[in-house]
Amino acid sequence: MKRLVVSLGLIVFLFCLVPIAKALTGNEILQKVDEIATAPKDRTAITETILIDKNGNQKKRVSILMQKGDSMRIIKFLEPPSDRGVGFLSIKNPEGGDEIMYLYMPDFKKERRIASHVKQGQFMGSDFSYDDTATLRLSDDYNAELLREEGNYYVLKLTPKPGVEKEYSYVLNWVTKDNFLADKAELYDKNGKLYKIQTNTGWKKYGEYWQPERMEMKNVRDNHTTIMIFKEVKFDQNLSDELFTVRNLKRPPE
Amino acid sequence: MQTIKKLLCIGITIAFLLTTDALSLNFSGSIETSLRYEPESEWEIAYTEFELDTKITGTIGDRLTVLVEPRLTNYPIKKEVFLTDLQSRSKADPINLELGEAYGEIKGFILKSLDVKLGRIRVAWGTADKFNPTDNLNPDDLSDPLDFGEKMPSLGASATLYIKETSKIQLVWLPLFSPAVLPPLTEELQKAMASQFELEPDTGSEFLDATLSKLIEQEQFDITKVNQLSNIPEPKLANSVVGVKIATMIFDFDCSASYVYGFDDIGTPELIEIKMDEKLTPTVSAYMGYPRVHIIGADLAGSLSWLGDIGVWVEAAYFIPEPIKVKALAHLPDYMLDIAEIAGGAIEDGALVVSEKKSSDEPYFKITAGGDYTFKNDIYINAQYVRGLTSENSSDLIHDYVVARIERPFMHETIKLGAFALWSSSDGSWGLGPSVEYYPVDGAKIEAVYFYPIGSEDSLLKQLSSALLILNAKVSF
Repeated sequence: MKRLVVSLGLIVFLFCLVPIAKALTGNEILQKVDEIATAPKDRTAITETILIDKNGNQKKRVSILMQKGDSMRIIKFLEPPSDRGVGFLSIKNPEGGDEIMYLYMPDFKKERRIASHVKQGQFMGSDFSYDDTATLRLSDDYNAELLREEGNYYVLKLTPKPGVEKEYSYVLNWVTKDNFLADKAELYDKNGKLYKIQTNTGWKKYGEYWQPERMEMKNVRDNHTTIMIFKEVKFDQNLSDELFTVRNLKRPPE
Repeated sequence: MQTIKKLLCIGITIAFLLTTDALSLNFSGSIETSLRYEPESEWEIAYTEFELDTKITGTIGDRLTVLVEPRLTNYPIKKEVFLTDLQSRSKADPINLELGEAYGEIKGFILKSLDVKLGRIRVAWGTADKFNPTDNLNPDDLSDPLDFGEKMPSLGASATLYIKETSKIQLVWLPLFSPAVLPPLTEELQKAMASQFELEPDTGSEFLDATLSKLIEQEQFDITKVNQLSNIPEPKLANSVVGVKIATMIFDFDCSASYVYGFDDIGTPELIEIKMDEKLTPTVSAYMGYPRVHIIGADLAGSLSWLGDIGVWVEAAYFIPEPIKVKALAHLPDYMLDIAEIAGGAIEDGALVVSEKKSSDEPYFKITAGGDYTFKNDIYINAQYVRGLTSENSSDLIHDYVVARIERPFMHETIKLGAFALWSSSDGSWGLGPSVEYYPVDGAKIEAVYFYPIGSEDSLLKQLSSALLILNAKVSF
């Protein structure tokens, strides 16, 4: 009897010592996704964007992407020839608020300021909006609810935070349990209907950073798909802030 | 032989630099054709053009950039040709070699944040869309009346000092003045230009004034049949065009202030010379002069967060012309000159001074203010108030317009439907222009625009152009 009591007491004691594995909330999972997405100090890549219509016809765009932190980004187009030299710049707003964006068209010999409402429009005819390509830190704009666990995935439901204007009423996100990588997202329009499906595949680890080799966005309404393939990816190159200026935007791509 | 040797040396140097990766060259270009029909004139072809544009960009290291834009153009329409010209292909079907920009740009010239550009440069100022009153350094290209805002590059230098991320100061020096390229000299345009050369005799003698007025009234001096020439300012330092611009960001808006000391590149009548021979047969020559002008400009661009983030811009320029003397001289036979002198007329260098006055020095404003918005269904709208088009170069020629454009892409920008409207508040005339753009494959574009002016025959927009069906095709490579 005495032995039993001591054993039980020991078990209870040990139980108290071992912290209970607390289940992660949706927001906590989303934070971890963001930490991985925003871990690199900077990133460069050659991006090949393939637009595929419902008849299988393809159009290709090739661009150089440079990104620093989560607010500075510059894209310079290399192909097609009609777009060569076109540049897009997004920089942090010194006054706070939305990023400031510029578009440079070589034919006009000057840059043009783009109003921030354009962010919800399609980026260069693709199925990605400006916002889709720019938003790295989802937790800034969305609240996340853990809907369920599905095999190796957490399935999150993201809804825009009050006061945040997005083109989606909500987003379902499939996040891997082991690495917190966002493999798939279903994006629902303002009427709650499925609008787009994004899948990220070919995850590669570059040092300590993860990058999908391929991002695919399918517009289910008009059966149009955009595939972005990332090549020559480099992280933490100590990119200078000078690269994210209008001065550099106007220089021809190298 | 020397030229061949020089070219060989240049070619070998370029090849060497290319193989050592010191020089990186990129070549691109486009082929564009344009055809314009006048539906109201039995579908006559009003204009046709073929253009081969090329662009060569090169970088040496990360500080030197070179850009050259050679261009070949061909204007196939000919109404009259000499038979002898038809024996030569270059005369029967001439190809023009033109040059766009051609410059070298050094990044970090002496100072790390100073960029200097030298060569044939296009300095594009202004944040408004297409109608830029502060864009006055380069001469206008008015050869296409429907291509508002087209300019030609000029020989010169530009230095830009960047201060922090959002501010800069730019200085521009263009040592040579070039006048604007004018639209095709149609009969209507010649009459309009000739009407500027108003002869109002003011000899100081009532008798002479009355006599000359009668002669003019009797159309003995037909101003529409004049030799029109240009009095281009002499190529010297004092006749340079200079400009300075300061740009920064204030409360989320890109702002700038600028000053240009340049010339009125369209010109104003400066001298009319009437030469009468012994048989009293008149020959009239009219000279356009190019007065100096001070231009103070400012602009801002941004978006209004409290109004759905609509994009907005305002651009304004204040023109202060320096007047020039405008004279009319009559070179008469000696006996008539003697009579004129007796009658009290002023004689200068063997000619009767018919009139002498100053051109207008009245300052005037040009303004463009507008905004744009892209709706969630990708419909894009753009509207601007424009005070003063490029060709309106004096206070009495300035008119007000409203310009609007709407576009919507379909099938992921494979097709774009659009329309523009131009309204003149001065006479209520309209110009409408529905359009369709088709991008069948990457790098190819086919476009059709129907321009339709509405108004009386002498209204501004009817004078700008008759109704046109414009067909364009472009391939980029």
